[in-house]
Amino acid sequence: MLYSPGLYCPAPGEAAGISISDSEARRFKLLRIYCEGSAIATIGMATVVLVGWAFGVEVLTSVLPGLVTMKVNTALGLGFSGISVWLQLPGKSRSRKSLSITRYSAHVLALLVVLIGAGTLAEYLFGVNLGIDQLLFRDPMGSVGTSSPGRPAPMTGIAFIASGLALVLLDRKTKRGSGPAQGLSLWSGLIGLMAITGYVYQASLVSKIFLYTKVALNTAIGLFLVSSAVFFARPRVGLAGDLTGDGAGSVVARRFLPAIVLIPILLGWICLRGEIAGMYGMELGLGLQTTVNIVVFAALVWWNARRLNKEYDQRSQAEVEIRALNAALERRVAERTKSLELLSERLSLATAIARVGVWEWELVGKMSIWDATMFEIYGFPPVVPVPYEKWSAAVLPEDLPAAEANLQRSIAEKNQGSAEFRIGLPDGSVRNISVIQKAILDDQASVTRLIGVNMDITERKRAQEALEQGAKDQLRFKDEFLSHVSHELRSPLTAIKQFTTILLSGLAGELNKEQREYQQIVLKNIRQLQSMIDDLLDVTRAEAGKLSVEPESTSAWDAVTDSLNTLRVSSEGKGVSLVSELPPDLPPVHADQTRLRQILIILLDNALKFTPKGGAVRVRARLQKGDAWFVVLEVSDTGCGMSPEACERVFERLFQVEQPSQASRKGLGLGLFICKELVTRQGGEIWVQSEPQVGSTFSFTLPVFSLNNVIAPLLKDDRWPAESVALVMAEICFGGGGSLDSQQECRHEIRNLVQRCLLPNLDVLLPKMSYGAEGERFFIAAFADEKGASILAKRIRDQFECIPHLRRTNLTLLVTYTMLKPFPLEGGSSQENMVTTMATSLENTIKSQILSEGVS
Amino acid sequence: MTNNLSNKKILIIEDDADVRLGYNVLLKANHYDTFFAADAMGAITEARKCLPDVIVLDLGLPAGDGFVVLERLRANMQLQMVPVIVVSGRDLPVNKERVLLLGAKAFIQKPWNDSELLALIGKLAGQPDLSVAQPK
Repeated sequence: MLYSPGLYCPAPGEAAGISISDSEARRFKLLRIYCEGSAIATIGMATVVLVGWAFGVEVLTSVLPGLVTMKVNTALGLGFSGISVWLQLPGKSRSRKSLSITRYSAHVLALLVVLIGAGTLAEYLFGVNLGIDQLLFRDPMGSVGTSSPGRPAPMTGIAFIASGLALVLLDRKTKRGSGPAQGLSLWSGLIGLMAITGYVYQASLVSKIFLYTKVALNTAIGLFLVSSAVFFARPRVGLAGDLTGDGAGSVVARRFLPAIVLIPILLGWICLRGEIAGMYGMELGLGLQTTVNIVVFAALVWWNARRLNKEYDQRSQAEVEIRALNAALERRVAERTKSLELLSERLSLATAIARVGVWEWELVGKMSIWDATMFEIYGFPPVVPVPYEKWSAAVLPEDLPAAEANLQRSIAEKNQGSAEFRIGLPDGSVRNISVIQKAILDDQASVTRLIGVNMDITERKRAQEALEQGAKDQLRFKDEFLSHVSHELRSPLTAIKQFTTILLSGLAGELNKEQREYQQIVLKNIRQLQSMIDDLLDVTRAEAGKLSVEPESTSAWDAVTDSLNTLRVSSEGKGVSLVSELPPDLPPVHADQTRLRQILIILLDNALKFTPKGGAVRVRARLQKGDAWFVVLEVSDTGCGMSPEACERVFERLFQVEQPSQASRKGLGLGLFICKELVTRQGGEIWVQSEPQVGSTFSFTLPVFSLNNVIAPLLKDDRWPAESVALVMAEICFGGGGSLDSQQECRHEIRNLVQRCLLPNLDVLLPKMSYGAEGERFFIAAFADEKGASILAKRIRDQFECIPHLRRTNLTLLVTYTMLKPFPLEGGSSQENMVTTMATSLENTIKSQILSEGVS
Repeated sequence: MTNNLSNKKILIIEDDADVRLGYNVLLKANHYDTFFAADAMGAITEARKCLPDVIVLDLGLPAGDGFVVLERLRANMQLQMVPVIVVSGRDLPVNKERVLLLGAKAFIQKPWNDSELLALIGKLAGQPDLSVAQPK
């Protein structure tokens, strides 16, 4: 059989998920084997009988020759019952579909059984022959104990009705929970038992009620087996359940029931045998039977009482142990509770001291529970729960959105979060609060509440602000101090320089050669001091981020030539040659002209300082192509060089190389720091390569000037398609006269004037470009249509009219504009491409303007 | 250096006596008549008295700084046309723009080169500026 206890599958109608003990499982397994065995035995018996009928072997139809035969219909009924009960035993089939088919066929068979029983009974009751008795095989007339040939006994009919119905109603339950099937099976079982008892006592009366056909022995056994199988087919429910359970009642029932069934039969049979043998009379026999019955049952009761008492003792023992365990558990719980209380007390003490308020917010009711510190922080009377609105009203309105967003974020993301906000207290004061909260999830992983802490950080915030202010003040003080000191140093320096110059120019009488030489030394040192003060101020500005850099299109070639010229005299004095090795086709760089000279002079000055007589200082340049193009400028010397450690630190502020004694005066150690700042501010890099005793090479890069870089920041996404871009030109014409200096001033002033007229983010004043007429013409790229461009031009002219002193220096300003081709954003082309296109277009237009100027 | 027939008058407004003496030697040697003021108060008084051709103004002055002097000069009918050269030890970028806006003709950083200063004074004294820059 397929059945195994491990794979026990509850049949429909049995409550699923009931846990069963091991002994119960074993019992059920045995019962199942019994039911199955009974069913199969019955089926086998019926088959044998049918075979007997089929082949006319009479002995097969009755147990012993001469006994009543089992009729064909009885055999069919028993066989069907056996099959039906076998089909309905639990754990037969797994799939739902086959289960319902099985059940359906079982019910059909059971109904057939009922039909056979009902038909047979009807024939007896109404004295008719329905023709069903010898449907299959003929029963020879005059069979033993048979009233009508082939007709089963009336008791068998009743039993079939009962057991057939029981099989149909196997899984039905009455309202009180007991199965009607078991009651019905008891009836048929009782009939079987009665017949068996009759055979045992050889009393034909019992097995032959109403003097009709007798119940055959094999029929009686079959009925008994089938009925018991039906009875135990559902061992958990109803009467069977009372027998199969683990309870004391079931145990007692199991012990007594077999004895109650078997012992009286056995004793009755023994006594009857004795009576029949004539050993004693009927009275004595009955007396004996009764006495033995009493003794046997008393012994049984005593044995059972003993077993129960023993079990009771064991149970009491177990109970005592469980009580002890329980007490120990309770003690431990109490201890843990106490330590938790202590912990909680400590925690609340700590939170109170640290002014940390603890809160818990139920999302459903929008109410929160606060601890005492929370109320203290918020200055509320301590009433819980606190409605959400009360909290939100306390938060300063300008901080509320952020504070609420923080909470909502925690809920949405189901995690921890923090924020800071301010609250207004009832007394009007304001506190800074820092909140940290965590979302608490329920079983469905949805947020039901938030717990968190509020910290009063007012003091901390105040201290922090004071500290920041202090640091800021200190920094400003330092800057102001440095800048003040530098200015104050300049005044006496001015006087020293003045009088040295006066002496040198012979205004206080002619100097002799030696005196003149010494005054020259004074003057040289004044210049050094002056440049140190300038450096100091530059550093102060660099630190304040105010180092002014105005990048424009600058010729590196010019800057290098100028710087070399400036230092030519001192290099010749030192006997060091200054060499420029620049390629002629160097593109203009995007840099501040003055700052570029400053960088070059610092580097060249350093190089001269460390190069011995007869050495050489070289300036080289090359183009570095990449994503962006750079010009690399190099200043190399044949001086004493530096160690690798010094190379690393050389751009640090106040860093100075340890100098051999013969070296000239040290500087402040600020020059290279300023260089680095300036180069970085202009978008370049600076580095050094050096070898001791061979020389050093300082290199720095500056971006190649490109219009792209100038106009790129203007071009935000929403500007495209840039349908109308105008090039506005403001041209200064000097009407003769005026020094070069004043012309320079005018240029500067007009540049500022033009700058003032521009609309931010729409117009850009292009830097001076080498192919522009040296700043006498200003070019403006404007995101404007024709009308916008004309308005801009008019604005510049009007502004110019407002500055009379410019107008009267024979200066004229000519403002014109020209429209550029539109720049639609074509599919597939990136914005960078568009910028390049626009820059190229601008450049070409500017070049053509200058060219046309030249021709005319 | 310069060969003016009639001496031009230069007013020096400078609080440092040594620097004033330096100016005196240099300008006298270049045939200028020199006048001096040591503070902002005295500056206007002295200017009205001498009606100079060029004013050299130091920014750092006691009793009101150079900016105040510039504003007062611009507000004075007699003096508003006089070209002013501002000389200062203060930072160049910030202050230069401001003084030029207030109508000064030039800004020179201390310590200066004598030749530069003389060239500038010569230019401004020789070519009296006809423009009238009104403060807005």
